[in-house]
Amino acid sequence: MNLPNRQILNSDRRFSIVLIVLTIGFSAILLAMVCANAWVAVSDQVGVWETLQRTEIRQAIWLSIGTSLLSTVISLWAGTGIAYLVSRYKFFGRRAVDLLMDLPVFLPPLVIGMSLLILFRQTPLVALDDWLQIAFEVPAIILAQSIVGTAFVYRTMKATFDRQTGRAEEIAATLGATHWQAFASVTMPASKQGLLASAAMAWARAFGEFGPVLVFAGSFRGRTEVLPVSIYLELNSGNVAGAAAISLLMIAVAAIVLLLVRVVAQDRSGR
Amino acid sequence: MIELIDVCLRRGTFRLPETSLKIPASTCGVVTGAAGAGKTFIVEAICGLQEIDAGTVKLRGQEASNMAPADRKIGYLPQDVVLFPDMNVEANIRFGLKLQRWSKNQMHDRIKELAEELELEDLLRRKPHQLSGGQQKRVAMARAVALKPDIVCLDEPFASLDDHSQTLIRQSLKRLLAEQSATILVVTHQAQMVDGISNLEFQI
Repeated sequence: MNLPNRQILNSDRRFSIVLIVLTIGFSAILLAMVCANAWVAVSDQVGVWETLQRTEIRQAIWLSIGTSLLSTVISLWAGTGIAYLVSRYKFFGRRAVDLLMDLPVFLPPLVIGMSLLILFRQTPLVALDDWLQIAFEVPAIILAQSIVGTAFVYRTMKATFDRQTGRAEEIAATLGATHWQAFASVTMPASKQGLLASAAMAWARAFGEFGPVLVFAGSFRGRTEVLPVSIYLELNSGNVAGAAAISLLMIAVAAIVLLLVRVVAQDRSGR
Repeated sequence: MIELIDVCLRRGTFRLPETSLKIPASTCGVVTGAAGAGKTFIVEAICGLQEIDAGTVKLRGQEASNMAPADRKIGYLPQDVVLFPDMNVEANIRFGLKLQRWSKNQMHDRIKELAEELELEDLLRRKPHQLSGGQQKRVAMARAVALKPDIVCLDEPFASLDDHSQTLIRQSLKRLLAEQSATILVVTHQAQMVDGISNLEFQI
């Protein structure tokens, strides 16, 4: 990326100062939030250690990692497929699908959970739910996480596909490729940056999903307890240090994944 | 043989008037015309990348108007080159061969042969963005003819090329005619580039 000439950047000092104050201010708030968690957790080291050693918290860690990874895979499949369809094909209802796919991002999280709960418990789908055991079980966590994750993947991948002209697929077709072969061997490799960004966003959102999970999967200790639910339960029982410890753990995991994604993205763009 | 009979197509405000042309088997025909006349539309209609509104496209004497691009088995060099960005030069050339399940040895030999013909030997490991415009066009040419198609359509193969690359593409065209008896359609605004290769000219 080419930066503008330094003289241009320095030509309006007031504008530069506003930008710098905004950046420092917001960064300070973010850092202060992390430090506050760390400070509370460190001030009660025994409480923190006890919290992280508890069986249900360890289960929550693994459940969070497992469900968020699975829902990321589901979101990638669904979001990428729908984004490709909307980006490449003209069909009746295309705009409606495009609008609908954004809905989970704009809906309040509680409303998503509530809607899922009503869908599976108050409509004829209740028979399916009774048979498959979705609501208030682990599949409910994955479904709730996937709904929002898919919306994020859709938006990123649609922008990625829209930037491509589709010409490479046409040329692949003249070389004997079926539509699937062109998609898999030409379009997707050219979309890997978008795919990586989508995966990171879908995973981050799934890992931290709380509202829909709480309503649709419940907060049953050791059964549907993912880490955000653990924080909620610890706060409810007055264990602030424990909640801070879990928050800190989630921040650490998210930071590691973010760094990994940045490294992989830079590595690929540098090739 | 390539044959268009009263082919007509509309795209937005553009309308290609009824166009007919016939290029007999094992010959090279050249299509010339002013910029914006619809030359690229003609090539793309032949390759199956543009749906025609009226008329007939015939390939090898058979009706092909509704045939999928993959089934037309045409070697196509597009005007905008369009190399696959995430594949290196070798993988770009190998793409069609792999789809047609050529053996590893056959693929290796064919790529080597084309790399020698079009002087791509030192570029095989490079990605498209690491190539000059002329090099990219030579790679696209190699990819288009890799499967030894009996019909080849080249859209502005000489445009924006250095003299050496133009010579290499011309030699490749001659070889296609002499060794593969291919039927070739060249769209160009530089008709002099195919002097001695094509004896059929269609003005649109």
